[in-house]
Amino acid sequence: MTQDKYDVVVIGGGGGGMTAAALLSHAGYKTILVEKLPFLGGRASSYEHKGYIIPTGVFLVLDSGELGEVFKEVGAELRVTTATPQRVRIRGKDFQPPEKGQLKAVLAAAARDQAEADRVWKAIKRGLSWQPPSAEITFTEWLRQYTDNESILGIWRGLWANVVGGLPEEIPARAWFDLVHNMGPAGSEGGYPAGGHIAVWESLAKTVRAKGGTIWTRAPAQRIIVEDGVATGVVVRKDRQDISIDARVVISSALPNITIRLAGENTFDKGYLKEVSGQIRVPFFTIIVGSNRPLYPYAAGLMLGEMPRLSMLTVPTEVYPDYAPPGKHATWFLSAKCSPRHPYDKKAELDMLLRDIKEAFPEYDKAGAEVITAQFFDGDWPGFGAAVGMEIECRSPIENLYNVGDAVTDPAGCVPGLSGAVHTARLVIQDIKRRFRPGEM
Amino acid sequence: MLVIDEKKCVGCALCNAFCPFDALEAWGINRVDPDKCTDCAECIAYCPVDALEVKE
Repeated sequence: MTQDKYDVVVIGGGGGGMTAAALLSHAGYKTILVEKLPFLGGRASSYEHKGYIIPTGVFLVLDSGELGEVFKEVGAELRVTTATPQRVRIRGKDFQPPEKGQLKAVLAAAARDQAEADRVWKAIKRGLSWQPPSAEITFTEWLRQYTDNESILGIWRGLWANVVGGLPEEIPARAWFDLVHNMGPAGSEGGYPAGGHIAVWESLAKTVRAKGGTIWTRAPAQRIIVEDGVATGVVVRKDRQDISIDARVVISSALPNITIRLAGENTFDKGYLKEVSGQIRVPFFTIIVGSNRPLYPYAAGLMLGEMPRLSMLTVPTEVYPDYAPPGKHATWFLSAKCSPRHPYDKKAELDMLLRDIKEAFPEYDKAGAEVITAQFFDGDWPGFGAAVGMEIECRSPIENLYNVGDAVTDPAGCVPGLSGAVHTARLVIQDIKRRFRPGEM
Repeated sequence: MLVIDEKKCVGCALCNAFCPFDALEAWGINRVDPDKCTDCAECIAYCPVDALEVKE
């Protein structure tokens, strides 16, 4: 077992881990990132399959916001073509929201009359500016006090699916209001990176290496070394050899349950173990379709709250034709409508999603459409790392061991998905900068 | 022989995409076609949840 010494070792090259490694190397910390898979970016990456660029999870990437700030800070290149706003299908008709005041406009389109639209809008505004509703009832229960209109409920079925996953009938009413406070009323804002999502992470990796940092892929962490309640390094398997890396700080962008497994359950506080084992991971699944003609020629795509399974689609080839082979078009379909709290039949869920797709796009066969791949995200490879409100803090009970990613959060307010992963990485790096200087470690 | 642990497999389809012999099929859960699979083990590196193993 050979020995290496670093200021910080980062486990996992997902959005959180890559952000952490880039910020650390840029600030002068001697950093190594180890990733189990052969590619970087985790569930926010992409790969090529049958000539198509396939997402590994995240559909749309935000270039504004925190990811953009990180790229600016470290001087890395980020080329994302924004493709918003997303349209909303209401009772079979597609509504194009304006640039500003999207929610109010969508609400007006879904309401039966102006009085209904005003009633719901006033309740929302009061919840945002005066007092959010109680967490004792679900979002659906809250909304049903103001309307029984399924199309209005459908708006939030779509929004939830896209932004945090899970179902409005299972999520505490106030969670949505808290989210709006933390991240603005955004639905699914974002765009497509030139060259696929993988290009985003390779750009950050270039920065890490230029600053003297190290990145290993195909290098699964075997265990986190803990001495007397303090993390002191990581054992990594690389080229069939176990390599021990000493470090002052260990950052894990693996899920918290995996971090615990790596460090050994007996090293953790019991309460923490209970918090982590109680976390619910949120599933979603996708069908990536190729076709000879575009199925829906609008890049930002469409949110569909009212179908049994289909919740969203995006059309990357309307921005970058090279997301598909020459002459072909790609449409990415998402379903985030299974309950994370109950078991479900994966094959049946995919069959239902495909049925929804064909119903929503009757020209499916005529356009020469075919399934390129179908993907499930759940368990240790989830759609979202934690159901809203179940995220844990970034610091772990083991000193100098941090978690980043979409299953942990800022105690000041939760940000979901990739934005959350980037946000938690920034928080952790701030904490490290406060505590240690590079080289002093 | 390549074995898929169905309890661990999420159905993410990464193995299917990176199989050099097109021997894996994913529709919710994965299936391996033993006639195409050469036990090259490349898919194992791409499995994020350690659900694949080559057994003697």
